[in-house]
Amino acid sequence: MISGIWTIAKKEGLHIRRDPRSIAMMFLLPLLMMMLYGYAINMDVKNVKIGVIDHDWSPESREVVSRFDGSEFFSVHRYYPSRDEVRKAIESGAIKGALIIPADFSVRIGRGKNPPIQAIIDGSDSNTGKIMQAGMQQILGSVVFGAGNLPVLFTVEPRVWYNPDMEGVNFIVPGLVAVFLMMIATILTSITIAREKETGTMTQLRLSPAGPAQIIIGKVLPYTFLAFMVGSLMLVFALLYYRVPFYGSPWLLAGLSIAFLLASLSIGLLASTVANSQQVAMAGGLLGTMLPSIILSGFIFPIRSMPQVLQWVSTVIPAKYFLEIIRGIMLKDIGIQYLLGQLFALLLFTLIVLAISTIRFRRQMRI
Amino acid sequence: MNHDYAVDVEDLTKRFGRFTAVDHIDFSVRRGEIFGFLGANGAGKTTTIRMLCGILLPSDGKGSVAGYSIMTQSERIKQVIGYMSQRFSLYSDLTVRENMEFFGGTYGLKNQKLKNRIERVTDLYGIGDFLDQLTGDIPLGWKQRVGLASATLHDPQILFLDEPTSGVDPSARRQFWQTIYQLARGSGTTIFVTTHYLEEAEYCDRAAIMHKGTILDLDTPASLKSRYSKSNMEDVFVHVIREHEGELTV
Ligand SMILES: Nc1ncnc2c1ncn2[C@@H]1O[C@H](COP(=O)(O)OP(=O)(O)OP(=O)(O)O)[C@@H](O)[C@H]1O
Ligand SMILES: [Mg+2]
Repeated sequence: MISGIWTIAKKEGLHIRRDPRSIAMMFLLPLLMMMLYGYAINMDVKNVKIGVIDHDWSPESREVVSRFDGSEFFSVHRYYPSRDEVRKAIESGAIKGALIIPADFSVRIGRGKNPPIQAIIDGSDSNTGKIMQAGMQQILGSVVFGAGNLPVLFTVEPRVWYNPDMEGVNFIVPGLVAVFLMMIATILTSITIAREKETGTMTQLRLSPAGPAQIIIGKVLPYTFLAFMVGSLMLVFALLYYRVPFYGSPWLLAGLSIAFLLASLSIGLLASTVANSQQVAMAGGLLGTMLPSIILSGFIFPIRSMPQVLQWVSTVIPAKYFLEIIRGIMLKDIGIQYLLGQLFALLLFTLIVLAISTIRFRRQMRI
Repeated sequence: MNHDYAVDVEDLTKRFGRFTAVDHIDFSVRRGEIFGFLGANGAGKTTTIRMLCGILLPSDGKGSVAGYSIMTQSERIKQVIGYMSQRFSLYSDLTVRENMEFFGGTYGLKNQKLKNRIERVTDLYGIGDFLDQLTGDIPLGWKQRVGLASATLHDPQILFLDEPTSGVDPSARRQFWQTIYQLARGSGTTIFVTTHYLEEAEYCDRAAIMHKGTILDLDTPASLKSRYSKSNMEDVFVHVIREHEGELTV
């Protein structure tokens, strides 16, 4: 059994080595996507329109507003009388955020206290939101009023609407890793089997004493390893280039990603029992994994704000669970005890999909 | 079932939905025999071979290969047979040696034993020059020999060849058949071969004429020719099919 698996895996390794262009693509494409993503961030954030609610209407409050208006980050769109008006303006897209200056702003500056300014950020666009947050902090931190000789510092309490967990890059990058891992594992698996059907070597393989389990495990192993390498590379890139923090245990993440990879691979196997050509396998794999993983997993759109039906659908998207795992471990250092539910969901998913594909595979083996 | 037979089949039938691809056929192949299956496209040759090799479950009937039941012992069968298909089915992005190492490996051959076997078939089929070339890059006639080498690495008792010479030029075909001949006579390997080059039937000890899923006649080429008083197998084949179709339309 073991030596049979090893024989298949070794052969699969040869195929991979003979096709350096595909490997290069597999490693470069994710990095390219991550770079593009970073480029998009830097482009986006200039002269973002914000609104102001000024309850104080003092020289001090106007000074703050003019600092914002004068910065390259923001331009002040207009003043609003109430939060309701601000909310409507954000919903309509007229502004991306607002500053609320409390009524006692100048009075408290006079007393040498730190008066809080509330910042509201439209969290539905988390890239911009993240940058806005940093920009506001930077501007408010630089505003210094002379009260005696004491500098007064501001406290920013950003309230993020629509996407309260927004973490910007930190949030998106682990998501990218999840989506790519899933895509690579699924597509490679389905293509490797479809290719053998297409060229006729599958028949030869089935005629050899290697059993279905050996064939499948032997084929899956090298690609799991590859997907692992790609995932690790993406993470290292994220840590170095975007300085995304990694608070939790890399070992826990590595272990749980195996569960996620298994789920992805099982989808690939299922696709391969349907597809007879590499193109179909590729297209099916892309549609079946990439779109749901991007749209329904919480990668970009928070699940909480989806319509109820889509929320139900999201419970059968493996990427949703892996996103919770990778974000939880990297950003919040949560332990295995909080991730058992996700682990269980991934394993259950794998088991069900694997059962369906094995039944289909067996049936095709001997019609 | 008689265990002296390499292949023994009774009422073997395969239906795909409503369509019957193989229709209650009976035949036996003796050990060491070169047994030919003649038939036009779609006659059911490949379907029969797939059932015998244990990768397709019969709809009806029974059969044994090397004494093992094709219904229940396909794993045992796979160990003792070799197969080479009409579609060239080695990995074209692997070298000849890597292909042989791989397929040998699936039969549990390894290390020195694997090396020895590869050396032996390399000499036997004269493919030494191609060992380290990518299989996709070598000429078709040689590919067939490489396929044969790879299919016989594990010393199969029975070799199934499904249109092994299709698309190969006549001189390469003659060479190929000489090799098959040596294999059968030299090491006693049973050969089960399908072809639609009817003149190739002359190389067989016995040949079955298959048509639309049934076997119309089965005998040695010599007695087939004398029974139908024809000078070659092509005429025999045409005659048998005409006779059969005539019966149907009357
Ligand atoms: N999996 C399948 N499903 C449905 N029909 C099939 C299947 N496999 C074969 N057939 C049909 O069964 C018939 C016999 O096919 P088979 O491949 O056995 O013919 P053959 O004698 O090998 O012909 P060829 O010379 O073309 O290889 C054909 O009509 C074919 O279309
Ligand atoms: Mg055929």
